[in-house]
Parts: sequence; C-alpha cells; structure tokens
Amino acid sequence: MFALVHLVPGDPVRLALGTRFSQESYDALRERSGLDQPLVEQFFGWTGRALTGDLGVSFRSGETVTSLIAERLPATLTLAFASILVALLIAVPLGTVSALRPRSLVDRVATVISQFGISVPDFWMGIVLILVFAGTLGWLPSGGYVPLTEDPGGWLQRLLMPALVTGVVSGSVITRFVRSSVLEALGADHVRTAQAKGLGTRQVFTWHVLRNALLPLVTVTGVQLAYLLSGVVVVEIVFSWPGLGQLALQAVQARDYPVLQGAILLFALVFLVINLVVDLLYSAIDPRIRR
Amino acid sequence: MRTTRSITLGAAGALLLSACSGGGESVDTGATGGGGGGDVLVAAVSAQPDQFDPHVTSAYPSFQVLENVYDTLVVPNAQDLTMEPSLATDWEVSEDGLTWTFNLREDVTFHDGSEFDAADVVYSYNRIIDEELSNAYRFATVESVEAVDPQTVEITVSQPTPNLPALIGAFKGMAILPEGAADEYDLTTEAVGTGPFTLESSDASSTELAAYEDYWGGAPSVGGVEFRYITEPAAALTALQNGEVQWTDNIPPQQIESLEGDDSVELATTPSVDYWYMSMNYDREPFGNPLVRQAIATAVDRAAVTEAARFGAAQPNQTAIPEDSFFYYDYAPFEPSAEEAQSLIEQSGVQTPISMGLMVTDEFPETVTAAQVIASQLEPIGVDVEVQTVDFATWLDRQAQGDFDAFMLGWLGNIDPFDFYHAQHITDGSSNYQGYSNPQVDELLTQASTETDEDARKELYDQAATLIVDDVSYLYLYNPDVVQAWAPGLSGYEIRADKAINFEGVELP
Repeated sequence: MFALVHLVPGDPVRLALGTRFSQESYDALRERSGLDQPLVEQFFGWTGRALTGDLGVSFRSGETVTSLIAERLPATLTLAFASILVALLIAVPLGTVSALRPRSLVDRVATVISQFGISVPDFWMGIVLILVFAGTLGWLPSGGYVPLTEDPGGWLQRLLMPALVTGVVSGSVITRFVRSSVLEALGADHVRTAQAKGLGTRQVFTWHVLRNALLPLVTVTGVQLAYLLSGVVVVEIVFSWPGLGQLALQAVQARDYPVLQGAILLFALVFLVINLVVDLLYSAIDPRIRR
Repeated sequence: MRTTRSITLGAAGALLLSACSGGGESVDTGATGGGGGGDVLVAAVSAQPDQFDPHVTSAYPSFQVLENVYDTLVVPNAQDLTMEPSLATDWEVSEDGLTWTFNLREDVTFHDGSEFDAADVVYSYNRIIDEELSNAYRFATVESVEAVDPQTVEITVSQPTPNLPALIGAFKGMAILPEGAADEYDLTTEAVGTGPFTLESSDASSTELAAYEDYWGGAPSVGGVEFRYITEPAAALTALQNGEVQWTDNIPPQQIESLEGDDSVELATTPSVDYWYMSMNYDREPFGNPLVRQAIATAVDRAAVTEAARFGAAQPNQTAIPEDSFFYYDYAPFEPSAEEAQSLIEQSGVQTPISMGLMVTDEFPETVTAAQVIASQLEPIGVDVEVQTVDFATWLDRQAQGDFDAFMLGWLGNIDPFDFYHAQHITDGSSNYQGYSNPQVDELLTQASTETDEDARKELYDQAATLIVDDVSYLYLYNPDVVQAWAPGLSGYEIRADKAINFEGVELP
C-alpha cells in the first residue's frame, strides 16, 4: 500500500510550491517533508510511527493526520449510519413485498424504483434536491454540517438530503438482495414443512422466511456500510459535507502521502471490523453456524 | 495554476456597489456571532484553505482568508494596479536604483498586541529568504534587508529592480509577521497579522474571523466573517439566494447570463489578470517550425474557445496582459482563418496529417473544454489533436520533464509585466518549458527588468510581446472574468481584477 501510494506519478513538493519557485525552495521543502530519504527508510519510519498511533503530518496543511481524520470522522459516521437506516427502511419493505408477490404490479413498481436508484447519478439527485428543498421551497439549508451536540435541529436538517441520496442508492442495491433472498427462502423445503405443520402465515414468515433471508441481507448491508464509511465523495461535495471522502480526494490530488496512507489504513480497518461484526451476526442469526 | 498568487491589478471597471436596495429579505444564516459589534458576514468559497502560514502556502483558498488577516508593506490599488501604501507609508529608491528605503506606519499593532516596527519586516523577509520558502524567488535580486531605525527599512538589491514594490506587495504571501512568530505560534493553524480581522477558528466546514478593533485602518463594520466551503456552484448560488450566505465567488458559469437580470442577487464581473494559453514543445517536430505554430495560431478561433470554455465570461486576448492594465498592449496579428492556416502549413513543407497530443488537466475543467474546441478547429488544417486529460500532479511532472507535444494552462494573479513575460519566454527561463529561445527577446526582457522609467519599460515589454506572439512561444487565448455575487443591499465591497477578496469595508444589508 505504501509503495502504491508513492508509485503514483506526481510530485507533492512541486504541487505544494505552485508554479513558480526556485530550485533552492524545492530542495528545502523536499528535505523538510522527509521526501529526500530513501523510500525504504521512509517506509520503515512511517510503519514504526504508525504502530504507535502517530500517522505523521500532512504535507499540505501541516496538521497531524490523526487530527485531520478525527475532525472528519463524526460527519462520516453520521452520514454512513443515517444512510444505512434510510437504505434499510426502503429496502426491507420494498424487497419483501415484491418477493411475496413476484411479477405483480407491486413487484414491477419496486423494480423500477430500485433501478432508478441504482442508475440515477447521485450528484444529479443531490443538486435537484438542493434546488427544490433549499431553493424553491426554502425548507432546508443547502448543505453543510453542524455537530449533533451543538445544534440538534440544524444537525438533522442538514443530514436529511445527503442521507436520502446515499440511502436511496444503497437501498436500491439492497432491495434486489432482499427480494431474491426472500424469494429463495419462500421456496425452501423447511418453509413448506412449516406450512404443512399448520403454522400461521405470519409465524412462518417471521421465523422461517425472514430469518433465513437475513443472512445475505446482513452481508450486503455490511458491504454497503463499509463503502459509506470510506466516504462518499460526490455526495460530500454536493452537500458540503466535511467527510473522509473529501479528505482522501484532496490527499490524492495533492499527493499528500501521509494523509493518504492514514486514510487507507483507516478504510482497511473499517473493512476488517465490519467483516468481523458481520461474521458475529451470522452466528447470532443462524444457529447452524454456531458450533 | 491553482496556486494563485493573488496579486493585483486594478479593475478599471471595478464595480462599487450601490448601498441601497431594499429587498434583502434575509433568512437565519446560522452564523454564530463574531468578536465585534456587528453581524457576521457569511461568504461561500469553493474550497477549504490548506493552511494559514502565508509564507508557506501557495493555495488561493488560503489567500482568500489571509487577505483579511495580514498586511504587506505596500498593496495593489483596486483601481489601477499600482502599488499604494499599506504598512509602509512611503518609499524611495536611490539614484543608482540599488537601495530602497521604506518608511513604516506608526501605531500599528499585531493581533497579539505587540507593536509593529522595522524588526518585524526584517524578520519576515529573512524568514522567507533563509528558509527558502515558496516565495524566496521574489527576493532573487535582494542582497539585504535592514532596519535603519524602528520606522525605517532599507532593502539593498544587486541590480535595479523596478518591480520591487510589486514583488513584496502583490499578495499576502509576502505578509509581515511579528518578530519570532514562527517560534511562538503554530502558523499553520494560527495567525498573528496586522489586518482588519483576526483568525478565530477553522475546521473542515468553515473558517471564522472576528473584527480586529485596533486595526490601524479603523475597525471593520461587520463583526466578523465566516468563510463557508461550498464546492458545488449550484449549492453556493442556492445558499446565496435563500440567505444562508451573503457573498460568493462560486457561481455556475452557465448561469452568469441569466443572473444579470435577477433581483435576488447582485452580480459583478470584471476581467481578471489571469490568462489562459496553449504552448507547443519546440523540441518536438514539427512544432519547432515557426510556420506550423503560426498556422495553428491562425486556425484557432479564440472567440469560439471562450464561448465554450467560459460561456463567454472572458475576454479573448492575443497577448497576456488584460485590457484594464497600464501595461496592456493592443496587438492581435492572427485573424482566425482555416485557409490562411492551411497555406502556412503548405509553406512549411511539413507533411499532414500532423499529430499533436494536447495535454490538459481536469483540475481546470475549462482547459479540457477549450482543448476539445481547439481540436475541432485544427482538424480542417490537417492537425490531428489527441486531447490528453491528466490530473494536475501528473501534468506538472510531464511539463517539467518536457514530455508533451503541447499543453494548456493559465497563469494566475500576475501584476507586473515581469511576471507576465520574463521567466516564461527568456532562454532557459524557469517557466520556459516550451523551449523558446530568441536572442532579441532575451535582450529586451533583460533590459526591461532593470529599466526604472515606467513608460520606457512598457515600450520594451511591448516589443518583446510582439516577438513572443509572432513566434507563438505562447498561443494566448483569453483573460477570464472574475465573477462574484452578493446579497442585494450589501455595500462597501469592491470586486478586484486580482481576485483579492477584502471584506474590510463591507456593510451588511
């Protein structure tokens, strides 16, 4: 990962100095940033410090990488969990209803809705929402972020539109999974057995269909959550949402290696943790996995 | 270059806003109160400052803020580009042009309460010079900076440097810090200037300034300024229209025309000192052939390029310096014509089709659009253009390595003709990536760089520009407009050609 970041063409020193500078300024900044050291030395230096929690200092801003990440983490967590909530609120009912009545009108409408969510570009949806709700109607602010602790009302107002956009996109993906896994569970032998035993429809559905359909749902939700936690650049930009995606994007553009490495490390950790949680949930839901 | 050195230029057509315009219905802005008595002005800017050390950063978003926090010895006049007093009240040059004496303003205090004097100037300039910070090149001819007495600074130069005031005053990258500031403060996040506002706080959403009550020019009338980062232009305009912000420079270019007749916002435009150009690699055949370059310069229709790239919000120009500048030179030898271009190619004896990779960067999307238009204009004369869009870091690398047939970019924030022409066109100049070399131009540029008579200087630069344009060292395209908008009724703000944003005199509706 370290090598990959450094192999990308582009010189952070030249980017930081702008277009007009002397060779002396260039050499001086290169030395100050530690970029004149051999790459191997830079790698071991960075790894050693990273293990102690020191991710270095941004070339661009001179702030520590940990403080830059910490500053943006609350906004990213807020948006990611709000979006997953919106996504599940859309996906579970929509997916279940269309699975219960396959090829019915409801199913077709649900398919169209989820297709729409998958295919409409999120920046376009975002701008339309801003123009309607912040512009024409004037109900919501056009964007930005305030911490929940500072102004709960303002927090919610600013969260609604971005959470809706990312929620619709993720929800559309999840809907397809819910539909297919519920359909599959409905056709399973044990469901027929349960029905044959004379269990009520509701009981069969809750205990035999839904519980089995939950496994793929947990998996796909985990994947979507990991994706949302690594930042949703486009939505962050459209709604001026100060999340990790924008930080990572700026780091790539400025070849700000310390920030980029810190962000990648964090995203890797997020994936690991979410995978672990998903695995633990599996065994909670499915007794067959417990040994 | 995103790294704008914000410098000046006077906008001859600078608009002063009319104060009265009753209809400013304003919604809750969500701004928290600043330090002073008045309300806080909320300004939507397109990006977050990278940091606040004026001597280190080269990013325009940082200078938007720093313009209001720091001062320089001299400062560009908003009207005509010339340097006027700021922390220096007046200055003089010795007969031989080698010693500059600056008399400093009295009763100026820094935001930490300390008195401003000559030692601070010496400290600030020597910090840039000794640490080889990004603007060290501006002191290339400076031999020493000395305090004669607490109110007088003497700068000695190795050769006459008529543009010294522009070099030290063009933008806040040459700001004066209190002596020892770099040891006492973390200048990347803290600021100790002498300007009208103090830096209060900055996070990933906004930067907040408060009025400095002891400002030497008189306390500002607003209580503070909040710079809010809104990257998406449509969102910034919506925020202005519904009253969340009162000022923005992030206007969707395609909406400029329709906003002109719109009462909900006050729109102002003025041609900027920036210019966009295309340049061809002299070391790659056939672009070393002057007839081929002239053919291409003749085939390009600048008006069409401007319309596509900027929705018309720009001034086509065949030289670098915009119309409003004292140094503007009215010279436009190329009349767009495909036939004429065709015959130049034939005269050159070069076989068509000629293939040309035109390198542009998505960092500046207008170059991508402009390149596509240029490609279509060059096709009829047998030049096959492949538009190569790369990110800015790669772009800069390839430019430095000479790995290009042709490229497009702009120079931003220049004020003095030295900045416009010297390093770009003198043989082996530090910004002469195209490899242009003309002994006559070298002679003229060298002479101009030490000529102390302003009219004679202009004459020399005009002659140099004639050759630069004829030889197509740069194929100049246009000067883009500065476009800004604010809430109806906001007064005391002046749009500037150098894109310096100064809220010192602003009054809210």
